[in-house]
Amino acid sequence: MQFYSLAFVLFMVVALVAYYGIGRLFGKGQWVVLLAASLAFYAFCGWQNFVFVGVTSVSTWIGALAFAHFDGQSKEARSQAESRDEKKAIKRRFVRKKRLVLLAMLVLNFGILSYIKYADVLVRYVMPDTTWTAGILLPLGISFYTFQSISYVVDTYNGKYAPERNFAKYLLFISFFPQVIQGPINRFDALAEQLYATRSFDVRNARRALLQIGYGALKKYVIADIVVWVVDGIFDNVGPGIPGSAVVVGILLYAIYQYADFSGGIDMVLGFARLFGVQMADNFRQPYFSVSLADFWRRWHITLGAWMRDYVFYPFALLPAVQRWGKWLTRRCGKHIGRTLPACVANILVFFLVGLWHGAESHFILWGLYNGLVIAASDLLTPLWDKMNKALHVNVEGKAHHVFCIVRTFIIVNIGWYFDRIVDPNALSICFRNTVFNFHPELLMPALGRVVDSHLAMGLMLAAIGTVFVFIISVLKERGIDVAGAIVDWPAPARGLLYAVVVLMVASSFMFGMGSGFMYANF
Amino acid sequence: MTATARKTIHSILGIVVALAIVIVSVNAAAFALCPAGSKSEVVWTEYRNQESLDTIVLGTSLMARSLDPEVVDNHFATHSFNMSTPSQSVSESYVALREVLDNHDIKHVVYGIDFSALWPEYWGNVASVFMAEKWKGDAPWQRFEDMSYILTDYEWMLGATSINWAFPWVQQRVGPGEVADNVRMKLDGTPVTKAAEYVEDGWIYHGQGYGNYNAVFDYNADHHKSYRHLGMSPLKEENLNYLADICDLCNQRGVEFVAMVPPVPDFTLITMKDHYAEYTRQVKELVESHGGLYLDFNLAKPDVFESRESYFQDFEHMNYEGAAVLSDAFVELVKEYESTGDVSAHFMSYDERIAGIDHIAIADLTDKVTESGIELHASCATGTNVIPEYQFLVDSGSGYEVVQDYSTSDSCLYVPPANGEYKVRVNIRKQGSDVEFEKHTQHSVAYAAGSPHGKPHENRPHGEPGQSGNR
Repeated sequence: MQFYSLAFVLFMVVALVAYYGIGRLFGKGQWVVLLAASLAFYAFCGWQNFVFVGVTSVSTWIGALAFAHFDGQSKEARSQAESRDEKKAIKRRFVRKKRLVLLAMLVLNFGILSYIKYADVLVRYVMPDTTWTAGILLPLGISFYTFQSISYVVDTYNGKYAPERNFAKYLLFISFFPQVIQGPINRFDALAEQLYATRSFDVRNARRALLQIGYGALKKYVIADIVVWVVDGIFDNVGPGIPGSAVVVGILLYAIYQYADFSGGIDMVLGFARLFGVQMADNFRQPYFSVSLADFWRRWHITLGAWMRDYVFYPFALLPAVQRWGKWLTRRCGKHIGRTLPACVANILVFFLVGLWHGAESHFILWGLYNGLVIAASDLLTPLWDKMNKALHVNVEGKAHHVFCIVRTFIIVNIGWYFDRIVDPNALSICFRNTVFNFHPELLMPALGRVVDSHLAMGLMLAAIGTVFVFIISVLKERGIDVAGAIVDWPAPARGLLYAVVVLMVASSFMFGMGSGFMYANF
Repeated sequence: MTATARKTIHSILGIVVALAIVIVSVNAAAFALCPAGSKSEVVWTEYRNQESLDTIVLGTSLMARSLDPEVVDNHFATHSFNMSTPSQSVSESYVALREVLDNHDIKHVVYGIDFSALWPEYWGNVASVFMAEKWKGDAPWQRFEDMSYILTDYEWMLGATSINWAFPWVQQRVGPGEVADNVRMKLDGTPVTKAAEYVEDGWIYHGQGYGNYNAVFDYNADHHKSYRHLGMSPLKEENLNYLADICDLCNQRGVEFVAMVPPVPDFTLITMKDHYAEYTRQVKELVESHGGLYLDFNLAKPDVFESRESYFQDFEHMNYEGAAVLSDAFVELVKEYESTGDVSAHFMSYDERIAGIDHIAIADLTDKVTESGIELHASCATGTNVIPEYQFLVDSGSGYEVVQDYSTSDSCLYVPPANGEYKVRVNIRKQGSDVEFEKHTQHSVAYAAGSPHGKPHENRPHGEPGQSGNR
């Protein structure tokens, strides 16, 4: 179901009226409305989705209950044990059982995700001429709810919080409709209580939600859906000598498109959730103002980064073997290498998985490895950078250095976008080569002329206005200003004017774009 | 008054004010951008001036420019009105028909079949301008009845067009340089037909809802649009159901129903290929099973109607001359049908029609700049029995020179002597012909040694749907 449709508007109106109406009438049970709305949303998007979300929900819900059950049994058995050794043995026995359950959960759920996501690509790696397909369309939000449910399983395994005993409530956590299209990847301890709480309608919160939805719509429809025409025009048919200038412009537009599409969509879903009083995890924090690639990944797709940190990076880095290796390195190569190198390996592993999460195609893997390697190299060479800064008397606290770091990071990120956007390895090598050796700025306009006609040029002007608008908002937010918080307190006429401008821009964008789907939809 | 009550009133007032500003702004934008005297406005304004009608013509722009009511009236002494408008959806036609049947003693309904109007999600903004103009003269309950019919389209409800209903300029608007004149005409009371003639350069209103252009399509232009660019979709079941509703409504009211397929230029018909036969099968079967008469002028034999290039204003619409000839042909066929009850002998199959085309209908030329030079590839639309031959020419600044003379080879590699802008052209004619060319097309190519573009040049019309990202 498209967000920009009468059906979705009616769906939201009905859900909101029911949600706050039930809250007012009964003072409880609002979460049931959210669950019904989420299941209805799934049904609108295809009943087949129920099967997959059902298997994940049931298996992980049972798995978490099993952990609690084993913990209880273990505690009871240990209380009856007489010796310390016997207690340890009992604990080991139950830990083994829990591990087996955990392993089963991981294999089952990552197995389903991997089969659906990667089977076709992997089979084609092995047998390029085969016509075999897995024959399953990617179920709605499978990557997001799988990661979300795995985080729940691991957290309950570690005893971070008690498992949810009510299956319907747990199902709501997994299937909450605003998050299923493209995330964010929410955590149970941050989201669940909000979903189950009873609340009344808050005008100020609703205003803020509408602003967030409008801001997201502006990014998605006014910028992304128009700019994508140029990006596709440039990269869908890369020839042996496409001018490097066109490649660079294409990549810069892709950077805009990718951010506007993904963060715009996230803003919209955060706004929808906020209308129900639910604050989901933020996924973006002005990523193009990052001062390093590591910083970028703390600001871009934040919930995926945090998931990888908590469930891959730390578990890997804290493995006894890795710890021992670190100590060994410290003795042989010094403190910096001993501390940094294991983390570098963990980072490379994390970004390999991030690439794989995006797809099994080689360009995604390359993109992931590129990010991991750059971050690893940057960490390893930190002492060298420090020495250089000192030798050159660089004021690392100064504004100029800050801007330099932002520009440097922006360039590094955009090099990464080459791997992400240019799917064909041959085209990728052509684009890199021509960016360096065949830049030909004089051929930029003729090259763009093939892609941009006068109609699209008008659309790009609208997109440019939208981009300036987003840039100004981003600068203000980067300076710590709560822009939305300030706007909701504006006088009604001023707010009305702002709403009108956004509505007119978003509606007018459909003169040029076609309201394409979200980049991360059905991921 | 308590502080809470004051706060509530303040909040409600704030919402009302903000909402009012949004509504005023949207209406102001629509006022400024939606053309004064849109064709829909012309149709509804002129319709309301009609005292009595007995024949109504409905459909999209194809039909709006194909049937002259005056010709029909001259032969049958009827009172006809052409209510067809650009992008009129089948559901809109139904709603309009219901209105006309309620207010006039209608005997005949002629509905123009436009296959693209039966595709899913083709129209940019269904039910916007046409319905907005209708509602200007309707009571609120009538609007509600119309909406309740149109909103039953589930797919439409799920699409962006359902929201853009509120923003009519998304579908139809004036250019940035025309906004001031547009506003002036709306303010100074310029008659809608005059405003329409001003906004639509070259369009002339002839009366009874009918207007047309006199221009003839340039078959040798640098770029041309065709159904190839629009893409061909299977017909949407909901749209066929709406068409069935139209037939049923006519049956219920005892009205004769004629479904007429207006002709399109040969090259457009050729590009529709196998889709055309399938579309015909579905729609003809539906119309005839509901008791209607189906007349497809694309498949008419020359004794009834012979399509000529001079009859068309663009890649699918007829001009004034073409519509006059077609209207006569339509009248003659209906007369014969009324006397004999069967006119099927005057039509042929799609394959027979295409086989009968003995000329080059249009030329296409694409290029790809490679490290070897400029690769040119030509193609053309023509009859199945015609063997085309191609001549490639290049103009590097001193006029066109032949770089590959006439042959059946449709490709040519041109190696430019230097970097620069080159005009490339292809002439196409039938094999065995000695004319200089039947059709040609041309465009410019920027060439730089060692840095060619890989994307083939294509005749890409405005508004072609783009792709979303690579994910």
